[in-house]
Amino acid sequence: MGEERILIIIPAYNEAENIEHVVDDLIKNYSQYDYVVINDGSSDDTRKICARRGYNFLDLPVNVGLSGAIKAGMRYANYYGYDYVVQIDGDGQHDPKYIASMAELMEETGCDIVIGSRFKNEKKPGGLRMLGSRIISGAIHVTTGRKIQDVTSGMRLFDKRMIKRFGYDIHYSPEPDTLAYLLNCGFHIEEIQVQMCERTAGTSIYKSPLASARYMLQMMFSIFLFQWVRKKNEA
Amino acid sequence: MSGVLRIMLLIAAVFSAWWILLKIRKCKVKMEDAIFWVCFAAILLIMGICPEFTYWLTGVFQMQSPANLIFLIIIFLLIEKVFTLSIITSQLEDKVTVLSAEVALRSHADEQVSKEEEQQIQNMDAKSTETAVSENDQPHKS
Repeated sequence: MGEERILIIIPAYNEAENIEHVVDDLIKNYSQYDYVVINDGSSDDTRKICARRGYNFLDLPVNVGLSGAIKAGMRYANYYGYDYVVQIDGDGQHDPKYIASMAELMEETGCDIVIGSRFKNEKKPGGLRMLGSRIISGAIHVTTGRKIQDVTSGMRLFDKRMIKRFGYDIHYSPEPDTLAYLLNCGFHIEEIQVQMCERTAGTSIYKSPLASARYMLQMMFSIFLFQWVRKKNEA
Repeated sequence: MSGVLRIMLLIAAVFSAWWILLKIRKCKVKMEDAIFWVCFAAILLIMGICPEFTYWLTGVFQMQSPANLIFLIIIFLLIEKVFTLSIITSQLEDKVTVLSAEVALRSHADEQVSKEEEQQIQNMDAKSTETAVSENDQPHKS
């Protein structure tokens, strides 16, 4: 442990209110990790703030969505030869203190993805938003035989093989359906218990009821149908 | 509902599902864009397999024959697709415009910076040659 180069990627879309707090914390307390902010064509001052504060950031000229932002970050990691990539949100809900234990777990188990999970040891609360998580979790369980508790967690650690795949394959989105597909390809995914804070400012991009329904539809099609026609790139 | 029409529906359903799934396999289309075509194929399949359902629906819409209904449904679905595609295209066009403007702007800014740097280097070179010349000009005090 220790020699691996870890890159933190922080996708940020209209996070002007939060980004400073998140990145300053990283610079001050976690200088052992490199980071890159991916400004996903924000229409607010996110770009200006990053430039003024001299942050290391990729500035995407148009909004391409979370999946595209992650792709840019993965390509950056691949270009500069990083071993691990951690994805954390730009709104400050993920605490970087867990990165060390996530990397440790990856070393110990030799797994390919570590998910920072809210529900590894703690019980999942009820409610409509968790209903979606439960359904997806159940779908993954049915199709792969493996249980992932926090499928929608945005805090994930990827190893080098995953960096290549997420950076260069059209079907690898940072969504739960990719986890199901990877499990069926024989990849190893672990979860580790983390606490997440509420957003410090701004509003979440999650999600109007219509968008949620659309998201669920996509996930179900992808998990139950499309993953079986995709070429299996075995582990 | 004639047997030929049902067979045609089945063939169309199987063919369109097979086609789009093949495209997914070959990484030519994103999975979310394939959902429409899978549903489209499923509707054709249902209408081909269960004529009773098609007859019932024909009654509901008070149409003359199931063939009319099938055409209507297909036309409706395709119009919806063209409509959403047209919206997506115009958004994409706008994105390309913004993208090219941004690329031009940023390369312009880069050029500006490198020009300034060149200018500075030239100034420094000129200064250093001046001082070298003036040092050579000074008489030896020996």
